[in-house]
Amino acid sequence: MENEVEIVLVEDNPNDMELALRALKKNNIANNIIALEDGEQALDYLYGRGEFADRNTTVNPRLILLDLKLPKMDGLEVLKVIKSDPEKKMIPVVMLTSSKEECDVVECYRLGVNSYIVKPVDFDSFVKSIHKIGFYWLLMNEHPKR
Amino acid sequence: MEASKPRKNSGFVSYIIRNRMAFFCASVTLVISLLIWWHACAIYQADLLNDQHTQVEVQLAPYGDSLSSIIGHSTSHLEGMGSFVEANPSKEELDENFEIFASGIYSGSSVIRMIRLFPVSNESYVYPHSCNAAGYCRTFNNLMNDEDPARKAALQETIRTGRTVVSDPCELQEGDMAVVARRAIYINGSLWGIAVLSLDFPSMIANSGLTDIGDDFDISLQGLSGQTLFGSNDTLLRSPSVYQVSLPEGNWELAAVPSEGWSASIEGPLGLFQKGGLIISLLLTLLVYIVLSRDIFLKAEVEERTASLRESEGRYRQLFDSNSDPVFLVAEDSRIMDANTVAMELYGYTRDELLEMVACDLSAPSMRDPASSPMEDILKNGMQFQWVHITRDGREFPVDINARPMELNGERYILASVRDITANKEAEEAIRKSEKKYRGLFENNISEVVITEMVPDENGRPIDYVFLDVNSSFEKNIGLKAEDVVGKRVTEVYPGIEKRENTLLDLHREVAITGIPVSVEIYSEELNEYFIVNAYRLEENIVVGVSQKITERKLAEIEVRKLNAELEKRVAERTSELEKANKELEAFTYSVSHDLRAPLRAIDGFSRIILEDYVELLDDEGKRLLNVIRTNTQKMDKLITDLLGLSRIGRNKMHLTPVNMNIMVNSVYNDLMTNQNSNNIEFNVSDLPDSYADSSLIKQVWINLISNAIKYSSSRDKSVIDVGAYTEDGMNVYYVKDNGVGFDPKYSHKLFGIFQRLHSEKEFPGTGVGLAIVQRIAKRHGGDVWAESELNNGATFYFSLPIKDGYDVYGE
Repeated sequence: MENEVEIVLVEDNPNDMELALRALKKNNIANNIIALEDGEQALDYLYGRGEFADRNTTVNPRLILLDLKLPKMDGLEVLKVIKSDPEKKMIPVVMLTSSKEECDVVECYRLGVNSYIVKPVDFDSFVKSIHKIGFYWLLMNEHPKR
Repeated sequence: MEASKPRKNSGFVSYIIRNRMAFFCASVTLVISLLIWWHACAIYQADLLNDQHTQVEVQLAPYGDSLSSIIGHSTSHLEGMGSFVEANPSKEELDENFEIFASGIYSGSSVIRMIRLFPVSNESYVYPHSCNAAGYCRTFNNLMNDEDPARKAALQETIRTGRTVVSDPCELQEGDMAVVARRAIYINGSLWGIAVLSLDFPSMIANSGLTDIGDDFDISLQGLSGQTLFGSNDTLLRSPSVYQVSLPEGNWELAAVPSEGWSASIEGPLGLFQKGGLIISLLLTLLVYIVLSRDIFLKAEVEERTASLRESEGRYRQLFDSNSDPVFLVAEDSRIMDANTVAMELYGYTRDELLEMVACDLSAPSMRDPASSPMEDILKNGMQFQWVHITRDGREFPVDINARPMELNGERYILASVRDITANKEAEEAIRKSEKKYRGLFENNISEVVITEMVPDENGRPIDYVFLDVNSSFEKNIGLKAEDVVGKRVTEVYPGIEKRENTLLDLHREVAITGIPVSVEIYSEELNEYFIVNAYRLEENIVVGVSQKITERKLAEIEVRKLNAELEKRVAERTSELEKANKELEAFTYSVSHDLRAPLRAIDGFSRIILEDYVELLDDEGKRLLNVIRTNTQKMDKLITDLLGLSRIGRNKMHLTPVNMNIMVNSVYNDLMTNQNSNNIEFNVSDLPDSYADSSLIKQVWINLISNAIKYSSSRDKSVIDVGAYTEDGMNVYYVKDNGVGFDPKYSHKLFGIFQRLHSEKEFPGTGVGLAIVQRIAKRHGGDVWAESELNNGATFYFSLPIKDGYDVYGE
């Protein structure tokens, strides 16, 4: 259990990554987080490819925090792959984005995203949002594998 | 139609009146003949019945006689018994011989059932002996003391008369019916005894043949005392024929009735007689009626003809007088003998004056040459000719004279009817002028006009046409001479036209068939020209085509069309370019919102980390400076958000729906007050008209205006905000009025510009985008926005929306 990854955080901006990790830590949900930098890496991790070839892919993470705008393969594409795979689609995916543009929101919900957080400029509100998401998806929502 | 109906009725009525006599006589005839018929029928019926009775009696006679002879023959044995007793008077002799004698009688008759002798002084003898056993061996004294009155009477009768007495049948002890015949036997004048024969009644009836009489008759046999011996009682009630069956003493009556009854037996001949009589009587009536009415009708006809002759005579006189044309009766020597009233009026003479004149006095002076007088010809054959007459006051006018010779009382006359044909002449002139006018219209028309007659195929469908006429424009514009075209078929003029489509030939055929005028543009391959052709059907098979060359216009039109197509293509290109630019703009705003925010987040986030993790290394000034950094990053974020909002207003589609403004304003105000103390705000909303608008955009307008009002009046002890509306020039105008700091009217043109602010950030924070958004939303709805204010004296912001689709009723 201790070794199982509970949260996958995909974020290309190192500053945002650091802030997000800090926010998670402040909410005491920073255990077993793996931080990835782009969409391709996220899928490699989930499917045990490339640098993650040794990973036991039968164990799914409990939550994926996915930035919308990522290099190589953006968040929407990653989301599409996850939600169209019967094995992976039960993993809760929460989109993190600085954009409030409607088309993104609509598209994410169309692809089956579980939740959506706009990263506020104000760090305090960001902490609050992370707390809400972590509380809900990690503590209240039963892990499907258990 | 209406008038003829009552006349017809009155004719019928008069016909009835005229024929009243005929009707009466016929009715009387009918009544009398019916009476006679009735009487004759009754007599004939009685005759028939009589005949029938006689016939029945004749038929009955053999049966009656037979019965009578059976009884007579049987009872004659009684006399034989008298002789037998005379020959054998003693008891011994009787005892010895009775049986032999009786058995002789008995076996000789099928009717005799029992033979008895009752001597006065002795015991009785009975044959056959079986009857003894049955108790018939009574003594003479027994007989005399019999209680039965009929038997006693019969016994006394035969004792008194010495003759045979036959009784009616009575029931024997054995149960059969028998007729008993008794005869007193006298020897030497003294009563010796009584001989009795019992005759079997059914055998008698059977032997007489009555049982075989069949179904033709119902019969009944009546005994002496009147009771029915045989057959049915009913027969007596049906007036039967009766035959007397004679018995030694008295008669039986044999009655018979035809089994189907008398009337049925005579039905056939009687019915024939009745029907025949009835028909004869009706025919007689009809004959009387026809003869009488024909006579009356003839009389009436004569009267009517006489009246009509009289009437026609009067009518001819009237016709002469009331003829709408002048009529003259002229004598052989040209003297005017008679003239009608119209003649007097037309020529202006009195009748007396006219009767003094001769015919040629009426002619115009130029026509009075006696040599040219047509009198001779008229008297020969009569004639119709045109002449010129003159009135009394000298007006000459053309006339049409119809003059006929006639003879009256051996004299020769001329009857002349004169018609003033001035109007005809004028009409002819008008037609000539009209013809000239239309000919001119045809000839001088700048359009090519052709008149054609359709040529039908064997099924009557038009397949070709012949040119009847063409005008000079046709010759000039088409380049064909009239004489080369008129009378020719179009297939001769333009060979091969029938093989092509959408030609003039097709057009003429269509118009000839449908009769509906058409106007079409046609390209003539023969001439390489465009025409606009109006074709219409003048009459059956005649089609007129009016055409104008439009080749130049057509070519220009084609050119214009080509240019239009190019233009449209260019517009489409531009549109797609614009769409592309719009897409780029969207991408730009996207990256603005996304990428510009990331550094801000880092600045704010890391400042916060410093404040949290290194708080003990910073003095108060350091903390303040970091907070300034954070405040500014957040302001920058607000600016970006507002900018995006502004650009979104232009980009997104509007969804227009009816919007209830009162509900919206109250909800906006309540939302704004959620985290704010509203105690020192007085918020008044009057009745607002609904609008047809995009509700999320309009909500943004209210949010911006009301939050501004709250913001700029927050320095007052008590904020007063009024929201209201009015209607003006087809627009609903809404306003928000506050009692805040207001603005200097000389800067009001800057109010709605983007990033324009009239107050310092320190006084009232803001980005300067809110009112720009309000303006853009109002303009997008086809409305406007403006404001009024005095510095420090409150401000009123107005926006207007067009009234649409019934959402214009104030307060609705």
